[in-house]
Amino acid sequence: MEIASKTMKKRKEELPSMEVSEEDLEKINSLLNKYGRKRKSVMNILHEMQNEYHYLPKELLEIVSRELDIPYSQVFSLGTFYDAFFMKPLGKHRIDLCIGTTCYNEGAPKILKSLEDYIGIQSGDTRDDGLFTLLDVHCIGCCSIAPAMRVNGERNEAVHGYLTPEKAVEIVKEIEESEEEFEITEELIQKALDYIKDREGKIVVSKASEELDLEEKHFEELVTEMEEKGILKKK
Amino acid sequence: MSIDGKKVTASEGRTILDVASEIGIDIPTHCHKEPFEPTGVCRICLVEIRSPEGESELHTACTYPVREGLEVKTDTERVKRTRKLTAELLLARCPDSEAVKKLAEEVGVEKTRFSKKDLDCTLCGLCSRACKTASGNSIITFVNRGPDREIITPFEIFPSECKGCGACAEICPTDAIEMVEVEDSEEK
Amino acid sequence: MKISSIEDLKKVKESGIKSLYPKKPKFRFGAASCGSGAGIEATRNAMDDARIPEKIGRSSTVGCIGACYAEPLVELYIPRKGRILFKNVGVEEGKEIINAAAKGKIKKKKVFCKIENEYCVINDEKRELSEFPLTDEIESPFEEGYLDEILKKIPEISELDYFKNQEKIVLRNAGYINPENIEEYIARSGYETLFKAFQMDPEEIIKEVSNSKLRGRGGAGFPIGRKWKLCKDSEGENKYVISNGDEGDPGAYMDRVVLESDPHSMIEGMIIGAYTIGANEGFIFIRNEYPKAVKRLENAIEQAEKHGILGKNILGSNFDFKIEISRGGGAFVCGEETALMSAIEGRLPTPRPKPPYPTESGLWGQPTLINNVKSWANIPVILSRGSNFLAGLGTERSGGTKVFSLVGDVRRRGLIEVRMGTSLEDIIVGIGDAKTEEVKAVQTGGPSGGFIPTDFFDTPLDYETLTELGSIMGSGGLVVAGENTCMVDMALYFLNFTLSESCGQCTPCREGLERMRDILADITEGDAEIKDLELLRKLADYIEDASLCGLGKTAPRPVLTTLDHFEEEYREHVEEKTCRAGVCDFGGDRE
Repeated sequence: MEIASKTMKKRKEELPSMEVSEEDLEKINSLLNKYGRKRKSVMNILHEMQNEYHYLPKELLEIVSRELDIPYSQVFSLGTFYDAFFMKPLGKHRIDLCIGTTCYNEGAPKILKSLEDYIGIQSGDTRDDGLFTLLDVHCIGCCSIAPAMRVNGERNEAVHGYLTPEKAVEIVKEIEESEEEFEITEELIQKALDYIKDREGKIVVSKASEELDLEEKHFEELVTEMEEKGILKKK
Repeated sequence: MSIDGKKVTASEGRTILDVASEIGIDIPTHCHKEPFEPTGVCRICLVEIRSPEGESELHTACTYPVREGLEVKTDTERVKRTRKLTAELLLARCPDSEAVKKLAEEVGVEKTRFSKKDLDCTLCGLCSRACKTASGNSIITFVNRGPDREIITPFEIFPSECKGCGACAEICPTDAIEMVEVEDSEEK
Repeated sequence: MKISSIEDLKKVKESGIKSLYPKKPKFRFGAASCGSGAGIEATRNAMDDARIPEKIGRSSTVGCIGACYAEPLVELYIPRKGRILFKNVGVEEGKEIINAAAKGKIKKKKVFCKIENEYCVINDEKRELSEFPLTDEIESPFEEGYLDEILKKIPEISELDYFKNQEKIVLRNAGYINPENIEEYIARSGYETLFKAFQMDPEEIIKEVSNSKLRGRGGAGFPIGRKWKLCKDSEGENKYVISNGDEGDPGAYMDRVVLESDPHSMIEGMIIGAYTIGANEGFIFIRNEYPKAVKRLENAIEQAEKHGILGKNILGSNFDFKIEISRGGGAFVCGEETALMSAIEGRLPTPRPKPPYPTESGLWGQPTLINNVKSWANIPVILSRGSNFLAGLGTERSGGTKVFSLVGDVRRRGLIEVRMGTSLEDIIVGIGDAKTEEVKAVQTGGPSGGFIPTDFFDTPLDYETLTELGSIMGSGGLVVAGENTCMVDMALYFLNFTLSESCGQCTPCREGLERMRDILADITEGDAEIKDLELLRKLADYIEDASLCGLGKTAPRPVLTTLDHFEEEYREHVEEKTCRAGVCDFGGDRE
């Protein structure tokens, strides 16, 4: 059976545009200060940009090019060369299925097919609703627990091992369900607001999520939403 | 050192290709053009040399620096065979390119047994190198990796930096770059 | 504290020993990436929650001891007795174990082995754990007699079939120390060798490294002493040392384990190397897929700096050396040294023709010494034990040990280290517990290597013996393939890999590999003819000969070895349209 790394797709498709805000400029500036305005810092900066924005916005690449004195085309070239970088936004949840030799021999192709079928996309793509990106990746070094897949690796979430097609789909289902259950309602906002007021704004994310019965990442989303709506002042 | 048995003395820092052309030995090239830095990517100019350990290896004449006692062979069966396959692969990649057909003919290849693609760029990179010399920056450059590697022309992503000097179009051996008059400077 | 003398180092060592052998029992959890995948975090959380502080001390982290098949591994340290390791500990078992321990009982169900003696190879020191901690005031809920009875029945780790023929040099501390605590590294005599090195003349050091017969552990096997000499003798204003941690071979995770379990072993080696060639700056290049390793390294470097082991005037000497981490972006080609250097410089990592070699002209045109992670980790042992020691562990042409990741169709998967010259049989059957009848071949050298059928399993492992069989030593991945593996499919798999990882610069690799891949795809679909096999070989020979870099040059190996050793399978696919392993489905629906 043939598995070609389908993530090697042409990246010269419509690139999204972004309005660069003050906050974005601050972020880039602090990265430049942290790593230095030298050519050799470019990879570190691109990694942080990818982690922060889930892709490399071409507007921000322009700034990097200027500050590091590297031709824009060459920065862009780096973005298209490496597997770690994406020129278009990824989905909210990124699923990396390992197709390294051991995982491949232990059934990764079948698992990939099941995931493709369940999620409804080809590997390398992001689903229309923006919830999932499915990628088949080269060896992640977890051969002793093959077949393995990593969910949201850049957020340091789990590696799942000893997978079967069913188990893999189960994991994706669970993510879907937790997303469905999570809805930012007026009620939820009020509940969170009361909780925060009670503690005079001093909260620990893990405890708060537990008490409000939310996943940590959902709690953070809620807070961001509340800040954007002006209900909460930015901490 | 010697090339095809001919003894020659050369100064340090020169390449096999330099020295060979001076003593009248023709080695075919494609991605190399003076005065640009050679990259050795097309592999057409591969010649056979003996390594310091005594092994016989193929290296690109355009990049390999001469040294004391170097023995070079440019016309062995192995060299010829390799040249032909390289040309055959390039012919399959760019079957309609006059320049590639000419190169293939030069090394004795008339047709290719591989399925044909439909490209006109051999990825020699001369455009990128010429751009660097002409404008100080490589504005026209490579993107993607592996079989998807391609040259991207400025106007698709970063229009403002290109001054329209035309160095890339001029240097391209396969005429894959066309300069087009654009009325409106805003138009990509 | 900044260490500037042997006495200072001794003080830190004492502190580290207290940390390694505390006076209260405690649990330690293996925290490498595969332990993670097996569920160690959940187990740890459950056990930490269940801990009774008066009885059991705070838990800590330990690296990977190599028995990955037994993960999640949990260790119970008992003062004045030793360690007991428990295997495959899930959440429920974990709770039972800690609850039993608090009551002074050992839950026997998941016991794996014990460690009553520890060995520090760096200074040939044996430690009887019954003598530690050095203080008499221990607090232990365990009763002497009870423990002794139990321990009698548990095998010592060195008696297990999995471990008994291993020789841990590179992995000397892995699984024994907390990789996030430099004091524990020092407690096992880490960094002592630096004092010795700084007293030696660089030529002396090079002589020792050469005499050890250590060869590059990245896979090419170039004699390390010779590389050091070349670099030292090159002229340049600023020299550099680099550790190549771009372990990209699928199935190989040795470097990851060293970086996550014992980063200081490599750092110590790099300091010695830098001192020898006269470099004041070093880079550790780590592939993007190892975020945990990056974190461990950042932590290790920070601690080394705080202790005066990196930075200015290392250990009170007049040698300055600092290390920076460079992260890969997800490209296998970065393992190639010229591409790696371009990547560090912030350029596109497309390989360059050699000569010039990095030792002559590397990073920013300066003489650069590049070695693999495991190569660096060997260096302190060469200096501390002498070159003869390491040379004696290997073969005529190759000194030392080799770390392998033994994965695939074996019952005991994991990370192992054996003497150079050990046979494949001893490894796959003896250590891995596979049965030769059930195994078809073993894949060595990753995408640059090939398949070795069981007939050749008595081959002693060495660089030359493997090259003779058509494969290469490679970085150390050993993927065992069972009867359900189709060799043609495997060849196609590796070609897809190298093609997608090719930088795309040169004609033979970019165009040639694609054509080879297409032919192989046809074979697996039943669309090929016998003459295609000939073309396959022709292309393979051409690509080996004509490619610009090692990636292209070695990419045809998997095809060539399978053609050589398993030609019948190819013929069956082409002439009979059958696949004996039942993998290829001819004429079926394919993408």
